[in-house]
Amino acid sequence: MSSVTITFPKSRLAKLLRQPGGKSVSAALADAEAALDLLAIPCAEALDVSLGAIDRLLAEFAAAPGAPTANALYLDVKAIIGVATTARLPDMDHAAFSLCELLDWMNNAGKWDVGAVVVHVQALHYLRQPAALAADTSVRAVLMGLKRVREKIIANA
Amino acid sequence: MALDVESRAKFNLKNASILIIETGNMAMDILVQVLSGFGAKDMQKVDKVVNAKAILSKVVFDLVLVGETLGSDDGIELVTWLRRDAPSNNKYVPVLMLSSHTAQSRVRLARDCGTHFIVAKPLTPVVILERILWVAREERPFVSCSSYAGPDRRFKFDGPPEGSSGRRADDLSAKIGDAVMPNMSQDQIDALLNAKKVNP
Repeated sequence: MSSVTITFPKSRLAKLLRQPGGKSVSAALADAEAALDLLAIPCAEALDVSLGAIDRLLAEFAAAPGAPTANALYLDVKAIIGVATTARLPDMDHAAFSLCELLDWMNNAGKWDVGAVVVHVQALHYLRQPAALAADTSVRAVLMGLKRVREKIIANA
Repeated sequence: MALDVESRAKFNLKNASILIIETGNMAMDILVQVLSGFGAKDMQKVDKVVNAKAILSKVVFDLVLVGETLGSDDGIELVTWLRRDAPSNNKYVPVLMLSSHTAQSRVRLARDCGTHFIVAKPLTPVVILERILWVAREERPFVSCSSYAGPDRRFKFDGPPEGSSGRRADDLSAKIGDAVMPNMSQDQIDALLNAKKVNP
């Protein structure tokens, strides 16, 4: 019979948070948002570097679709999620997440569709443009299109 | 768990010792900026599991934030080690795992590795603060058995399993007994719910 041990550790964090001083929730959130604003431009620059790397990995994947190239691409695409939102490009995050879902599915199914991946990477480039921020309708159309592509690939498997 | 973003309730993160384990300069910078905004001062940053294990073996932390994947390293494996094999000084430390996308094959591993929360990216200050305050406030008990070591994940108690009478003295029976007094009348219920003016 397996044994289960239950312990009730005291949290030092709880005690520290209650110490006098500190910040109000509203002030802390405002300060954190202001601190993140400082990262918007560096994050946008980092995204451009990442997109260059993603393009190179896409070329490798297109030349030899398979788990090794798909995994490398997956890790690089995954790394931009979160960075894009800080760069004030949240729609890029949605597209990157969609591509991660697709690559993960392909990896599990052992089936590769280069066209669907290319469309996603093209969408990442489109959503990186500042003009895309203003064109809300086209952004929604792009994200819906990616969803349809993903669903079609999975349904046709 | 929703946090009132207008709240003037105070918290103090200044003296909390925080370990951040994350790869990618930007991902690390985002976390540092958010925590600095919250008033944290004592933050240590590492990007490799081997370095994280070394520092966790020596220094006591109050909070750990760890990426689910760390380049070629694995945040899930690190937390599993922390809960099972790490020196006792950090075994029960609150851990928030940060994930941008969890592969299907890793969802179960991530769930069972012993983190307090898995926080999905993109990270927002509201969500991070909400999780930190919750983890501190709740002080979850820790469960350790052959298949799991980490904070108790049970959030709801529905009584003993169906068909059993339970093993604890304070287990309530799932069966509802007969009423022992008459039901309240509608007037009595209304009287409970209606607000009444009272003299100051």
